[in-house]
Amino acid sequence: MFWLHLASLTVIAVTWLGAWRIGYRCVCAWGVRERAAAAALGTIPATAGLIISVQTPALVSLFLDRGFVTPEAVAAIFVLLTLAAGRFVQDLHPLPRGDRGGAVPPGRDLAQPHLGKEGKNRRDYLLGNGDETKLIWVPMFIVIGMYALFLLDALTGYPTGYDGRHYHLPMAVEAMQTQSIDLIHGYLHRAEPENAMLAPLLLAFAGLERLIAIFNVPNAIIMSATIYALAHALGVSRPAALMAGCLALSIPIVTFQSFSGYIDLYAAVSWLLALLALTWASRTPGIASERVGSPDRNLACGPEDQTPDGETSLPQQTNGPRGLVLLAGLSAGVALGCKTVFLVLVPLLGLVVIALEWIRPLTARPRLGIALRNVILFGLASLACSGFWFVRGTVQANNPIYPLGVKVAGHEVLPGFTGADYFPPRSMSTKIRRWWNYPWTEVKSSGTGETYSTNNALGAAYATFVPVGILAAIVAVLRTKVRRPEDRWRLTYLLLALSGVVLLLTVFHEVPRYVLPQILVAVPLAAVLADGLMRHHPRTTVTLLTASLLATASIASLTPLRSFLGRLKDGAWDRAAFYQTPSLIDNLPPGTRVLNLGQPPMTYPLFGRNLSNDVVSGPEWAVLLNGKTISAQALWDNEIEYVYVRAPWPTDWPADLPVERIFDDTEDRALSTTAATRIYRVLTPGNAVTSTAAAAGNSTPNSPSG
Amino acid sequence: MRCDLPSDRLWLSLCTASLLAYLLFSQAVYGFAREVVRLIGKL
Repeated sequence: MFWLHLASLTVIAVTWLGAWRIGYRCVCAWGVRERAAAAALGTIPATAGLIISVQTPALVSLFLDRGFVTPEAVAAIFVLLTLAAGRFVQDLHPLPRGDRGGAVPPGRDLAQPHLGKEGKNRRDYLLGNGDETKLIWVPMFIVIGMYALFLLDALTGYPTGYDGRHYHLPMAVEAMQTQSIDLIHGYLHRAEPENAMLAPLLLAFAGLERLIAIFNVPNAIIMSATIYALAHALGVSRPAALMAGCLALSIPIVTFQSFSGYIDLYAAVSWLLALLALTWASRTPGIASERVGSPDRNLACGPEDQTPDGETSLPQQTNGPRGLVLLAGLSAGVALGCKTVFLVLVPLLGLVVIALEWIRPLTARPRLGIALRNVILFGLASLACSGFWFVRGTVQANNPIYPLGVKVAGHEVLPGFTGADYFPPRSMSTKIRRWWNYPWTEVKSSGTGETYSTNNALGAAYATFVPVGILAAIVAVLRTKVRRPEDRWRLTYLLLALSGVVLLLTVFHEVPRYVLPQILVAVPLAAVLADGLMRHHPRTTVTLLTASLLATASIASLTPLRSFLGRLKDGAWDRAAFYQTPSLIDNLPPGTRVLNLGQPPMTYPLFGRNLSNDVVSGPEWAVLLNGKTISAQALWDNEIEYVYVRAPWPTDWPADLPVERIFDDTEDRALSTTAATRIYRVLTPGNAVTSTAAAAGNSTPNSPSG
Repeated sequence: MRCDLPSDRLWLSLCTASLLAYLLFSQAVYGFAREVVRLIGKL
């Protein structure tokens, strides 16, 4: 089956690239006249198509009580969807043919005027032709070097990240094993929507753990292109837009999540892509032609709308805005299906959809009807990529937005968890103290270890430019009349960024990664400031960026460097050594049921080398026990075969628990600074009687504290 | 697009001050310096 799965995954990867190509051509035909924007927006239909291709068999599985989610089924659906979309796009926008018989990307036709009459090379296209602006290479190399180090560490290791190993990746592996995507009722983290885990789910079929470890890296690349495009849409120069891309990549939450099993980056990128689609929806000619019957010259709102001759050149298509609103909806749906917090964040994009009627050119009065139609289109499209999770919640927990419960006046309207279940209560003094942590002090409020992590820190470059950039944006908005579209977009981005501050301090309980989309949307605002500074003080500005990136890169790189050198010193290259699990875990027969009573992040490692064990995590075990304590009957009823325990040992085990200790590294583990491990085999009812009788006269009791 | 700044020098000074504040007060910088000193001590 391995080779069949691998072939299917290859088909899926090739189809994704084909779908991206179709998406790229489509958005170019709709009038997206900037390469980075077109390339980033082209990923939306590809990703949405893949997600729908996984969710379709998963939806069937929900109702037929049998698993249908396999790479083969997904590949077949994805190929059919892509072919249909390609045909539809070809009918809608017949593409010109190139000299070599292949279709010429319309983006090239449309983007060509940006490059000037002389036909500048790619480097000049990116960096401009001024000597000073080419200094941007230095900060770019710092960021590339940092990512190379993280990549080296990730490729020589295995999937990491506390939440990833605790419940995201276990969800993907269990979905692979059962070939269906079910929630665990009563277990908050295993009832969340998990669009981001659909790619690891597919990779798990072929056991491609090295790729699972870096599944977020493409998101980092798409994110940097999106930030570049958003900054460029505000009218900043290419070097300043590149600065914005570097700055966004240097945010430690982004860097660390790019190489971990966390899903916030994936969701944030989808959210930003939706915003980029909406930004371009107001820049393409369709809206005006839709309204007044012909393209409107006032739509030209950026330098790329000008030909080298200085004339405004607009294509004649009218499907652009509607198509881009549709793409925005699809991408927002991907985000909505990633995490419950996007039930709050995606409606903000809905407000932006309404605001399109105000942001776009001033040639006619805004019309409520168009705004309403756009919102409906956006909402329906978002359900295409998130609807599965609502159906699953309804079918399996009687609540479409499960695990989030809804109470009105103390009465439970929808069953589920409350805010207190999500976030531990904390005092007002704690809240106020945490409010001041960002962006300068970055005191770590949860977890242990380094300050920079998947959950914490914005970095020196962010602290240098973004707060001042926001201040400059506020001043600029107050000083100007906000009439030009790019000024209105700047105000929109500013309001979105400020909404992040409000949400962070209220409903999101000071967890910065929950507002990662807003953290990132503030970066293009900083690019506007940096653009102004670079025009008059290029060397000082780039020096500031270089110094701040160097500080952040040095601090961040310490983690992968230490991790890699540590493995090099210990020779810890295999999975068991990496996760510090006993090798017997890797050699259990497929389907062996292992109970993890160690730390929650040990759940993923316990699936074993072949991802074939059936692991019950601690929180799931608590749900299965339903308030009772561990007992022989509970172990037998739930078919537990092995129990994994890590120091500190549990203290609630009864003396007659039918388990036999088969592994204990308390005295002889390789790394004495790590917690000791024990593994118990659960005895069958017949053997347990004999064993308990023997244990009565034995000096080594079965209790873990013994 | 110009960003309507009252004075580029003022904004540049604010950015510099912001970076200095980060380098002075960030727990990450403090932790990094401590770790580097520890590693040098080990060597």
